[in-house]
Amino acid sequence: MAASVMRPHRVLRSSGILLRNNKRLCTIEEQTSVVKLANTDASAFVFNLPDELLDDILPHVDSVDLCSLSQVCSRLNKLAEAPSRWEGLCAARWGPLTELQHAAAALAGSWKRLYRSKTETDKKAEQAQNLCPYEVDAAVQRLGCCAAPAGQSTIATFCIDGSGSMASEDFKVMTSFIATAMTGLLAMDINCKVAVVQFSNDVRVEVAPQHMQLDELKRQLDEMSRMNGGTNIALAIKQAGQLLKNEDADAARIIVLLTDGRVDTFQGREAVKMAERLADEQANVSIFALGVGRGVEKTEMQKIIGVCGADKVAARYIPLYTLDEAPW
Amino acid sequence: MCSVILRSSDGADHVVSQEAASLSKTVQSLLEELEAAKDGEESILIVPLPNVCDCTLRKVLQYCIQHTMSAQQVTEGPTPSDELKKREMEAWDRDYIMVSTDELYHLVMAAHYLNVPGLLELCCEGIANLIRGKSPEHVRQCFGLVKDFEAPEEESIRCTNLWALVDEKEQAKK
Repeated sequence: MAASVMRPHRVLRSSGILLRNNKRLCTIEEQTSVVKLANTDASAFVFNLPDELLDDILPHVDSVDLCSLSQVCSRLNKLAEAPSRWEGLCAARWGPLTELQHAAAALAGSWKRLYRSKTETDKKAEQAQNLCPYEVDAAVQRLGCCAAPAGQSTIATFCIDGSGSMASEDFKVMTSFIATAMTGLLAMDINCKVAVVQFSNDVRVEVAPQHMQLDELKRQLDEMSRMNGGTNIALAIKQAGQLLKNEDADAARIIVLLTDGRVDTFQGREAVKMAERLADEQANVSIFALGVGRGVEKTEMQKIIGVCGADKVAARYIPLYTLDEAPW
Repeated sequence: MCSVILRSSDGADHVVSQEAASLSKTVQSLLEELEAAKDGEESILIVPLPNVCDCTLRKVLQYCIQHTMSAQQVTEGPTPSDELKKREMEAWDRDYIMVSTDELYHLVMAAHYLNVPGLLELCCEGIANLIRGKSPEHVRQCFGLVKDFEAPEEESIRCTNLWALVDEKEQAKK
């Protein structure tokens, strides 16, 4: 069987120049000569490879190596600092990236800074999954998006779970989030009142709706003691509703539930009913749910948020500080 | 399965199955081009590869043949578990990429030109191994690179990367 090539010169011409993605690459011979000039060490070829190839190689090294490479020279610095590189590392380490993380990266200024911040947060939290400061800021921005326009008032009502399943560190995380959130909201020039309600089997108004100095708020939060007992979210929402009833009709009402959401079916239904009533009776209600603690039941919390519209659920449930294990 | 001939830059011919050759996207598109231009029916297509030397082409084909064989085994009848297959393949790949840095260089350039995604990935992993675990100074020495930062700039870059070193030390302790 005779081998025959049809018009081989045409093929030769089309494959003689290496065209990929419309860019001409050096032929192997050209590359080799560059290597020989640069260094006698055989591995010296690595950084003479075109950027396109190095872009394929660098995803294989970890954060420590990238940090090392960025200190070598300006070319490697540029390659090692590429945003996509660090975004890839974040995705590889913390799973598919959420919108909150994208917002946090924007706040941090780069994916690398977010990576660093999350690494340090993880180290401190050990087993727990904790939001890093940038992610907390991004979460606060989300609350801010539901605030009233300038001139009108906003009331941020925090319902904090003081039930027995909350460890004291969980409680600390929640109170410090309230302080951070109020700091953030006031920094956004939002005319914002604060209210804090603690709940377990019972409910207690810790801070009635008012304009409060941050220092004073922090002092009161520090002094708050945990109630212990069950998790009656319905009662907390009812109490929040009563507090908010007396406020301006057109004020924005931001309700933030901080809880592990560990309720039984009956309690869960009651909570949703109560939230529906609140959203029905009062205007401009936005409910957020922040997961805190062990074995967080996010579906229960998402049902509650759902009363403000199914489309809101994804953005308004935020795992603040969660431990992926049973609470006992 | 019909065969094709791959001709290296130094003129050596390799007869391989079209399936194995098509693991290279570049060869695949050249084959399509040749196919469209051919008139006789009995001919074996010859694909000239002026950028790959015989030695490297052999190595590349070793990869292509192994990988098409293992893919066929998966589709044909009862096999050991897919998981086992995958692990065997990974072991084969690891062994395959144990080459000198010089060979690795030619292989990555060929994988890039021939556009064999799996092989390119494997070469990149091999090259990443050369880079890993080195201090900036060590990288400069190994790869013949020259520091082109001004002293203040170098210091500020160093400072922004200190955290990673701390991270590394702690991981080392564990």
